Amino acid sequence: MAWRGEIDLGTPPAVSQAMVTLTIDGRRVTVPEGTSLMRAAALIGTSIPKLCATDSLEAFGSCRLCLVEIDGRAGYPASCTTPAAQGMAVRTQTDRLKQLRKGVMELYISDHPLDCLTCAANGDCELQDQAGAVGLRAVRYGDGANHLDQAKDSSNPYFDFDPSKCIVCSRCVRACDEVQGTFALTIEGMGFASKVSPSQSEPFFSSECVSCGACVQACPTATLIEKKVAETGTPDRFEVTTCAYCGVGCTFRAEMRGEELVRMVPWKEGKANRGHSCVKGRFAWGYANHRERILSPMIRASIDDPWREVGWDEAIAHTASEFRRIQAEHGKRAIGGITSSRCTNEETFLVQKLVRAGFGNNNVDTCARVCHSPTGYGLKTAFGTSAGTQDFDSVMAADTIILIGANPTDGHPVFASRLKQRLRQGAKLIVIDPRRIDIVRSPHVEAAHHLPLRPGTNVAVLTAVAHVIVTEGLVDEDFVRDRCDRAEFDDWAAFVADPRHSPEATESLTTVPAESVRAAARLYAKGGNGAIYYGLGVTEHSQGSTTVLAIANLAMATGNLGRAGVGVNPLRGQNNVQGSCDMGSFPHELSGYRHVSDDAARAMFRALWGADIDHEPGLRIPNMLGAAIDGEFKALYIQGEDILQSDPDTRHVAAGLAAMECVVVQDLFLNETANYAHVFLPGSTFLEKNGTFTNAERRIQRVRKVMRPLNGLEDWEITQKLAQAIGYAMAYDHPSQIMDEIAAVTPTFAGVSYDRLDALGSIQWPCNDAAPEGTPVMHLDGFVRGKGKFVRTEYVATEERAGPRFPLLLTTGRILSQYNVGAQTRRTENSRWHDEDRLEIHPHDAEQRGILDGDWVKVASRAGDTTLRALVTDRVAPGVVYTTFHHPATQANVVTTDNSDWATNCPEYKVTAVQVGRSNGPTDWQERYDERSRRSRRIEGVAAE
Amino acid sequence: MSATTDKLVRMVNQIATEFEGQQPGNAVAATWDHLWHFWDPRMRDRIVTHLDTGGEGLSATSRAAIARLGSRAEPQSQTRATEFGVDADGNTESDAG
Repeated sequence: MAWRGEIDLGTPPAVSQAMVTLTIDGRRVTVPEGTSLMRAAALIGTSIPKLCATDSLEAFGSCRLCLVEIDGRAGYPASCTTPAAQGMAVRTQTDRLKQLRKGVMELYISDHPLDCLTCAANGDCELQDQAGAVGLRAVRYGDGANHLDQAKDSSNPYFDFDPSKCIVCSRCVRACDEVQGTFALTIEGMGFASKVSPSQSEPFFSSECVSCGACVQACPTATLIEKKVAETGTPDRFEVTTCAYCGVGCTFRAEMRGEELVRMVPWKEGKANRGHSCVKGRFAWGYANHRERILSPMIRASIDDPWREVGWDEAIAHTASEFRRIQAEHGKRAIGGITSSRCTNEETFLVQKLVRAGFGNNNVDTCARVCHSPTGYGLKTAFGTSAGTQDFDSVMAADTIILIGANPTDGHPVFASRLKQRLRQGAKLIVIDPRRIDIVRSPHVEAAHHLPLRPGTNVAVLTAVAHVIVTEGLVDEDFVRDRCDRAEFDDWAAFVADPRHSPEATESLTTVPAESVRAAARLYAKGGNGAIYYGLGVTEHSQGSTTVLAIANLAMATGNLGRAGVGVNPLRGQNNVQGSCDMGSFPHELSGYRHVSDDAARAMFRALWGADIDHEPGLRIPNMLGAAIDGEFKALYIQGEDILQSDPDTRHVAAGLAAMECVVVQDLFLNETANYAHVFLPGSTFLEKNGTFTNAERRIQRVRKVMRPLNGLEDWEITQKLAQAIGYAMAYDHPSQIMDEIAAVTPTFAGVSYDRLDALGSIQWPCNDAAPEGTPVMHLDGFVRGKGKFVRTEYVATEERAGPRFPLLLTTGRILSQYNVGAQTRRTENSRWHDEDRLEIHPHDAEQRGILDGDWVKVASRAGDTTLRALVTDRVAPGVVYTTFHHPATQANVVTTDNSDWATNCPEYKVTAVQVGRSNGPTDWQERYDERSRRSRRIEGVAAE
Repeated sequence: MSATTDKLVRMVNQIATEFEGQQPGNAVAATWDHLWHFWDPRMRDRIVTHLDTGGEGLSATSRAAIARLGSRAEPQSQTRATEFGVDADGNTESDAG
């Protein structure tokens, strides 16, 4: 649609049931008590001139442009800071007001460069607009002191800071404080000397700024402006779409000029992000046009050969021929597919349909296998629902928040900003994490309790918390009686009450002081609305599923379910982890989490798909690789995943892939997995396709095509062509038809359609006739499975234990600027913040090994070894080391082992026994892999760089 | 023992140990049910064969569960826990209650 700015009502909405009626310029308006006069006027279409006010920030009252007159009151109050009152009569435009505003504006403009025609914000500048609105036609003040010679700061790769254009309205500072919660900006100096300062007058790039873009969005001039806008010009159209990074699912206005993306601006109406963003979604989309993107299909007979570019028809026909040949020779269960949590619901649904109906087996899995598969298992067991219970808005009603195994300021930054807002309002925080993550103590936020547990002891800690709740009489008896299975509760309560589960008894195991556990348990149980948020630090353990069950036990025992402000909230890693699981990507489940052994469900699919569905589970990703090594699994269609880099025990993954006869990778780039592929099908970016993503709060949101796919096809079209080529009919014209089919076969999606999504903006499943607009908070009156199920959570130590040979415990995670395997973010300027993975090691452990900050070190486990540089820090406890896995050169997963969650095979990334020592250079594996990687990426007729 | 079989032995022992803690007295049935609902037939066949050839490394609970697996009896489908929006009379309703 044609570009237009978003409507700005000047101040945030008031939250009040009481209403007041007043007149503004003779027009009656009724608004909630506490609404500003500026907002009340805007609601009836009257725009009062303003500069320092915007409806994403609390009123500030500094610019003096929004003055009004009120009957019976002296002076000219600022409409942004004056609340509407019953019977008030307000005038927004009088001769005196015009004179005052023009005088104020004249002063602003007297210290502003008059370069509007060549300014990057020309046509999209509030200062320019307001000068026009107040009728400023001349500036009487001549030469004098000014700020016009202030130097521009271009250090940030994505935006410029030009203080010569600054009007010191403080919108950027307030956005950093109120919206983002980083407090990186301040106003330095006083009076005429006042100026915006990142950190201690540092360049933006080296300051504490996290480049979320909130300041740029808030700036009413060109002082803070995207470099891309300066280069390209202002946009002329936009589409609302959904970010393809983390599971928060921020919606953005993709603002375009022609087919060129000018900028991504967080959409104020977005219910997941409420107008906020992070450095990835806001700025890191340049990978879509990166020179390394592959746009032509390629095939090769052997993984040792160079690639040969071919047309789509040849690539698809070759792939289908190979799949059919292999099934004929090795049986129909010898091939499979992997869906991607980075792809849309429609695309993942189609891949699993291809596998189940086209290949005739259930060998389909997804990357949730390696992240949140224990969430699906645990929450389905406890509640009957494989999903989180709340919407993100719920956090604003929480009083006590447990954050366990999650680092949202890095992994889910936009949710972290909401969380910090609530903490600044007074909610209490309990962090359970081996590392002192940033949110434990950051500006204006400090955790009430940090339980720095020993990696691998989540179950012991949470069972100790349950022990305190039960033995100290903190159980919500009414909730348990009404909502849960009583016999199972009694059994569980007796189990956790055993003294061996007390905080004192488990302290030597967990290393968490018993009194901290007791204090945290009391706070969670009796500290008002208690909400639990968790991440991969919960799931990626040998007892990941048990920890999810332990979390569900705590929520039920304390009655913290079924209303706003409470709940069990898994923070999903990738943008569509929830959706890919919903769509039937697991080898044992059809869409909507119905087991393949369910005769009625299979019959429904058979009727619609015209194909029998195997009633037995297929292989999971690690089992596919094992079966390949054993000669039982020969071909794999991988859409949008890089299992060689992301999955554990890299050597095992490589051996499995190398053992297959036809590996097909569909991706944007020649990723690490493609080193072992025989067919490469170029994929499309989220900007080039239509579809939907489902975020961590079960919110289904539209992905809208803003440009044609550079590779020629949307990903669902590629899968459809492949299905047709193997002889299974698919004939969709548009992803909306795929969604219609999803709705027809998936009860949780029964009421979902593109029309309804367009009308409502987004829908949280379940969505059906009884809940036509979706379900923000689940389990209001009961659980899907009937009664909530308590499950005993016996702590079982992982087999991965530190010892003399491998005395340290390695845990892995991510960082703000990079995303997962880095395929996207490494191909953006984000790498300037994080151009390598580093090993965090405690000063004590470093000193014992003679390691200095920045030294190259070798990390060795029983699975393998790799080298990277050390970062000596006390963020990690003694005995624990930590690294990220964003860079293929590091090969962090060479070190991780094949240990996995007992129920789901989710890898135990978070506990690997290692030894660390100084190193002179890359390991043999790294050198061999680097050579293979370079050879594997050769393309006939294309010179290597 | 092949690497795959060794891995399957570790996996089934993990499952059995977990259910021994979760459901004392019902661990064999729970382990059997889990293997049936989550393991590919090839994995099940391989572990059954391993038991038939001595079952090196398998715990007692694992052995009993695998023996039951070998009988080919099928447990009930697990779908009950995942039905949405259908009440006892077959009418649709929201999970929101």
